[in-house]
Formats: sequence, structure tokens, C-alpha cells
Amino acid sequence: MTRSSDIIVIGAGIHGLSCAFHLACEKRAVTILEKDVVGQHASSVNAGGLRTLLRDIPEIPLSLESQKRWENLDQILGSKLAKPAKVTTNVGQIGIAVEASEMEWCKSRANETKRLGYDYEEIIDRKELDKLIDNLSSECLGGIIARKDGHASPANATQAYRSAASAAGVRIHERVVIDRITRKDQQWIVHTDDGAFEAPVVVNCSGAWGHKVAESVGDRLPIECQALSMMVTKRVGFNITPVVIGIDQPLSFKQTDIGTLVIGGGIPAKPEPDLSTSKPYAERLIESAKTLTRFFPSFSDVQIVRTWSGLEGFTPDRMPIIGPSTDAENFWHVCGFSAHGFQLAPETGFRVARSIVNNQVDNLIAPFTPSRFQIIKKVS
Amino acid sequence: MTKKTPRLNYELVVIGAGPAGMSAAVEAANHRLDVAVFDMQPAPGGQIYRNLEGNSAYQSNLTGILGSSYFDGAPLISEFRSAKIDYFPRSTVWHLRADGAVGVTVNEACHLIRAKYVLVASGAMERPAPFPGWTLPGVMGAGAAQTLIKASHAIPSGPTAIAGTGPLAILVAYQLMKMGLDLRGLLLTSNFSMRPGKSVALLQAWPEIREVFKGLKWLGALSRHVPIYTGVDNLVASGEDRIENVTFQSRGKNHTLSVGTLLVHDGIVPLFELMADAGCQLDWFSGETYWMPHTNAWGQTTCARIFAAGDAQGVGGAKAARIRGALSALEIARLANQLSQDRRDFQAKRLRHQLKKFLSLRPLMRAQFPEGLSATLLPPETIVCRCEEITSKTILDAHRAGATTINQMKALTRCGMGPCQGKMCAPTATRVLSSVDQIPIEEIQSYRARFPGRPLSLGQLAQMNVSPEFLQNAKIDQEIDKPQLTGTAQ
Repeated sequence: MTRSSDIIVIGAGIHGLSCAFHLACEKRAVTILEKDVVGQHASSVNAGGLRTLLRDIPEIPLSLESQKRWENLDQILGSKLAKPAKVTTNVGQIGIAVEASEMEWCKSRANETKRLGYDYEEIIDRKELDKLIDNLSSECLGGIIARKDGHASPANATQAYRSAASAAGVRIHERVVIDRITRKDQQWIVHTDDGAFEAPVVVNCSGAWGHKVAESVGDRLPIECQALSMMVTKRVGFNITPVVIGIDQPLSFKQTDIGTLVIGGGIPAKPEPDLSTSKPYAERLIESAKTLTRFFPSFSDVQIVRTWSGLEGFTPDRMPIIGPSTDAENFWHVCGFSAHGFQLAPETGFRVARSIVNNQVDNLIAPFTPSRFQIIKKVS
Repeated sequence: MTKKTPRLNYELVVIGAGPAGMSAAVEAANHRLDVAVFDMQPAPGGQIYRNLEGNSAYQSNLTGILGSSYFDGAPLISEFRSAKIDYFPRSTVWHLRADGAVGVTVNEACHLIRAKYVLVASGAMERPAPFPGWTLPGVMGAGAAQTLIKASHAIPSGPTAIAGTGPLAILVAYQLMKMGLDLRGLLLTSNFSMRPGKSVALLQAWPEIREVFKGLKWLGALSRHVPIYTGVDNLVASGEDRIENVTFQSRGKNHTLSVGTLLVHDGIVPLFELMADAGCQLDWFSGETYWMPHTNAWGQTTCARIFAAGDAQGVGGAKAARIRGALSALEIARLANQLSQDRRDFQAKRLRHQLKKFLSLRPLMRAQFPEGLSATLLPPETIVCRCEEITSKTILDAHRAGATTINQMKALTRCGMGPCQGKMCAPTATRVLSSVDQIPIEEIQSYRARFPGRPLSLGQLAQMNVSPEFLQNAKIDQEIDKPQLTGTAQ
């Protein structure tokens, strides 16, 4: 039996759910096919950073718009669903410099964004740093801050989008593995281990598996599946509200509302995409612990409760792939977010839905067209 | 005491110095393997023979109480002491990896060493059995009470009741009675009726029938001094700041006992977290309702370098543990080219014969002492995860919102995210999730285990000693797979 809908979304991470939700709001019948379970991978296990700070220039407009959506999440999804997502904004994300060269880099970055007409990044000195964060080591010189930035609970935010999508009529099929995708009479037919699904439009939101799904319709996306590690500690009495990131140091760190310290920083883990999992390397996390205790020497005695990692798709330019396939008609790619897609999800889903409905690619997502890799495609 | 440091490479690392770990280490050392043993206790013996060397001095006082089977461990411990083994008491293992990486903490310093083979003999823990009031001070495991007896000859004070099932609950009651404790009741969830299935199990247990008589002897002695309630249900502990009363039903009648201590026991479950961390396949054993590692006849897991023996492999008791440890060691010696296949099989034949005898009691144990406290459905407000104070209701709400796996539920509720890494709530959370729509346990999965399985501080990790070849490998891998991030991940 073939089940038909207007749009099939592949992947029930936060991007797939956000796209599906906004499409359903436009009265489209949407089916999501997920090979594991909702939010199993990057969407639920990332650090939940709501960061506009130090975004790649082409990403800035999308990121700033998305931040507004996070701030208004209760109006978009309803306050009951949005509340558990614990959206916390206006606490700031700070890139801290420990070397003079890093401080110089911060200044040139701030000048560049100012020149382009953005005023959300600001240089701060050590004195200002001390007002915002206690316990910093004397090595910290100052940094760059985006004061409106913050964080959210990634698993619960993903769940909020899931509930909202379901309420809007999206049908979510979990544990459905795609065998192949064929085209017949203007319809895409997605053959799975649970029968066939068909729709005129397909959106590929399959994260670390984005290139695999693309391959099944003949698209070669330059996505590499990688995994990044994180650590979390016991609850501690420190009181740190901003999110701290390193400039050249592998660090991304925050204290959650319950007091645990969540530590990331791009430390690579072992990806095992075929097993749908990944594992942190203890020997690599030494670097993470060293960096954190370099910034905050008083954290040395804090106990680590666990480590984890998540799978993610990385592109060569570390920017997402968002847009229709150049070859496969009505087949969209929304993947390759390169470990900074969580914050972008609310706005990306909205813009993708609007583009599909209007049959015209929205300006805000235009820079991320899959066609920018055309040259790579020809070479390879 | 000199501060010994582990080397960065061993042929065999044994985790745990209970009967399985000691016997494996001795056997492997006899076959010229280079062995290190890491154990959390200050002295060898594991849970069963805890502090046996120390207690031997008191043998005259304690023999009658701890029983002769406790002192049966003495020859093995002395063999272990005299074998050529790098033994690290008071050490913790917090990480295990399929490539043979073992994360250990010795004298506060942590090390990442490499083993060609690893034998996990980490034993079992008491099955957590939440019921209303189980987190009140004064409620503790019967096994924990026995630990106190063995380690420091301490016993609870004041009126005490023991609730649950299994030979350990009865043994601890018997031991505490003999030590003069004011026992107000033995509350057994089992009902000792004789059904056909049990008769078959009783026949199967014939080779170990003496053990059955031992249990009957304990019960007989207890029944003369302590009220014994059977078929116990609806257990509730209550009190202001600590337990004051325990109420329950026994065969349809309500009872209340005033107690200062309630000891509970609902059987034991394997400690498999390190193997889960390594990625060894786990199987759901519905006969005893627990997860256990998938192993072959030598205890080899699905990760070829990693073996499991003793209760960590699947609960079988001390005597079986000792044999299983030796069997694993024989196979590891063969893999390390220290033993021919023929010699291995020759030596194993006698051991397998003994193992069969020792394991013959298990079907009867399963039939007679099915889990009781954790068999019934929990009232919604009962705390399941004590680290994060998550109730049964919260888990069910997450399930209603769509969470079907235990890891999804964990991410939404924080159940299992506390310092115990979910050891204390995993069995219950699994049960609660599966109770609603009869989701198969395999679909619910087990908590993903990730290091550190035991406490480790940021400073210790920052200062960790690492085998140079690991760093070398890490560098090579890093060049291949490091995403070029500029410190700006999420």
C-alpha cells in the first residue's frame, strides 16, 4: 500500500520537525520518515547554544531572524509546548581571548560586522569580563560578546517541535528505513521497510546521513559524517550565566539552570553512523579538561558525571546546505549544518516551508544553495 | 605503603577481585600471562569474601554467623596473593573500550592504559526496588547491611524489618538474628507454593540440594524467633525525617510494623556498564529480567578482546563465578599463544562439569524467588531516579509525549542523568516504559553508557597519563577526522 501526502520530510531531527511544522501550518499534508526515533542524534545531544556570535557572515541574517523566533517560541508553538524547552536569551555568549593575537582577531571581527551594518557583537575588556563571570583565570584578556545570545534545552526544544508538528497534523513514522527513492509521474516514491510513501515534494533533513539520502536521487553532496564530544559535571555552586567559547582554544562551556557544567568545544569523537552511534575518546577529552581548567582553575576538583557525543554532517565550507536539488526536481536538501544548526532551525524551517509553498527560494536561505558545490562535484 | 603506578601496557587486565577475577588472574598468571587486577576494595575477595583476611582473625566469633561458605574463599585469596599479578586495590575503572583501552584511577591519579585482553569480573548489584518511601533514611539494601557486617562487624540498631525475596534476604535475616538484632519481621514477597514448574526445578537442583537444605535451615531457625510474612505486597515505608513505619499486605491482610530500619532485597543484577561503554552487545534475559552481556562458552563478549566472568556475565553465584573466571583465563591464554587448544579443552572439561553442578540451582532460584518488590506497577508519585528525583509519572508523561526508548525518555526528563549514571533507575525505568504499551524491552534499549563510569574530576582528566601509542593513534585519527572548527561549536 502506498501512502501519499503533499510533502515527505526525511529525518525527524529539529530541522525536519521545524520544516514539517511550518509546511503543515501552510495546510500541506506532511509525512516524516525517521530511521531511528525523533531527535535521537545531533538535535537532542548538542549543547543547546543559541548563538549569533561569530557566525559566518552569510549566516548572520538567518541566525538573527532565528534568534527572534527562539525568543517568541511560546507564541509560535504555544506556551505549554515551549516551556520545557527552557529558552534562555539575553545572558550573552562570550568569545574569550587568552592570547593577544586572539584579542586582535576579536577586534577585527567586530570591525568587520560593524562595517557590514550589524551591531550585535561588542568588544569587552577584562574589567567588563569580571562583571559578567567570576573565577576566570588571570590569563583571560577580554573578548567579544553577543549580549542577546543564550541557550535552550535541545532535547526538549526538539520535543516541542515534535508535539507542535503532530498537533498541526504531521504524521511521523519512526524506525522506518529507506531502501530507495524512485520518481514516477511527477511523484517521488520512497520505498521503505514499512512499505512505500509518495509525494510530489521531498525534503532531505537527514543530518549526518544527508549525503546518503541525496545519493539515492543521484545528488552528490559533499557532507562528511563526524561526531563531536561533550562532558557534563555534577551540580556545582558557581554561578555563571553567559555561555563561554574559546577563540582558538577548543572550548564551549555553560552552566545549566540546575547547576551542572556542560563542556564542549569541537573535540572529535568516533563516528559510527552505520550503528547510529558515536563514542567520545578519553585521550582527546584531556585537551578539553585542560582548556577548561586553564580558563577556570577553580573547576579542577569538579567531578565529571558523563561524556557523550553526537553525529553530525559537515560541509567543506562549514555552512549548511539549504535549497532545492539542481538535478532532482522538487527534492530539497536541508542538512550539513556542521555542528551549528540547532539555533538556525526555527527560521530555516519557516523559510524552507515558505520557499516550497511559493515555489521560489527565499533570500535568507539563498546563500546556502547546494549548487555552490557544483565545481567540487565536477572535479570529483 | 609504596605508591604503585600501573604500567601503560598489559596482556590481561582483570576488573574486580572477587571469586571470578581472582581465579582468572591466578589461572592466567599460571600460564605466564602478564596480568593486572584492578579492584575497588582495600583487599581481595569481592562482595562475597569481603574482608575475609581481616575477619579470619575473628574466625572463632564470626564463623557461625558468616557461615563456612564465606571462609571457603580463603585458599583462593591466598593463591591470588602469592601469584605473580600486578594487583591494585582501592582503584577504580571508569572506562573500557573495544580496542583494549582501560581508564583507571589509582591513588587519585588517572591513567589510560592498553590491555590486549580484558576480563570484566565486576560482579552484580542489588536490584533497585523502588516503592513509596524507599528514599527515606533508614531504608537500605540487605546486601549493604551484610557489607557492614563483613567490613566492620556493624549491624543496624533498633527495631528492623527485612523485606523482599531471594536467598540473600533470608541469609542476612538469619545472620542479624544471630547477632542479636531486634528483628520485627521478615517480609517475603515469595509465596513458596509448590507448583509443577517448581518441582521440576527442584529436581534439577539435585546436585546442589545441600544448598537448599541450608536455606531451609535458616528459615526454620528464623521462624522460631521472627514473624515471617509471605506473599507480601503493597510495601510502603513512611516517617517524618526517616522511616518510622512499614506497612504492607500479606495474603490479603494489612500489617504495620514500627521500625527504625528497613532492609530490602529483590535479587541481584549484573553490573554491565563497562561492557556497555565498550559497545559489547547486551541481551535481555527475560528469565531473570535483566540485561547481560552476550557471551560465548568462554565468556568472550561481542568485542573480541573483552571477556566477562562471574555475576557480571549473568548471575550464577560465587562457586560458578570462580569456574567461569578460570574458563575465560584458559581461552585468553590460548589466544595469547600460551596454551594449545587441546590443553585448553582438556583443562576446561573438568571445570565445565563443576560449572554445570553449581549452576543447577539457578532454575529453582528463579522459580522460588522471582523478583517481588519490583514486580508490581509503581504508584505514580514514587521516585524512580533518586539522583534527579524523577517519578514514575514523569516517565509516563514522557512516554505519552512520544518517547519510546529509554534514552529518549532520559533526554526529556533527566531520569538517569545523575552521578550514578542510571545504575539505580535503569531496571525500574525500563519496567515503567514497557508497562504501558507492552513495548518490547529490546526496543526500549538500555541506557547508553559513556565514561566515566566512576567519579573522575576535571583536574584528574586534565592530568591523565596516557599510553604513548594511544596519543600517536589519536593524532593520526585527528588528522583524518578532525572537523576544522574555529572554537565555535554550539
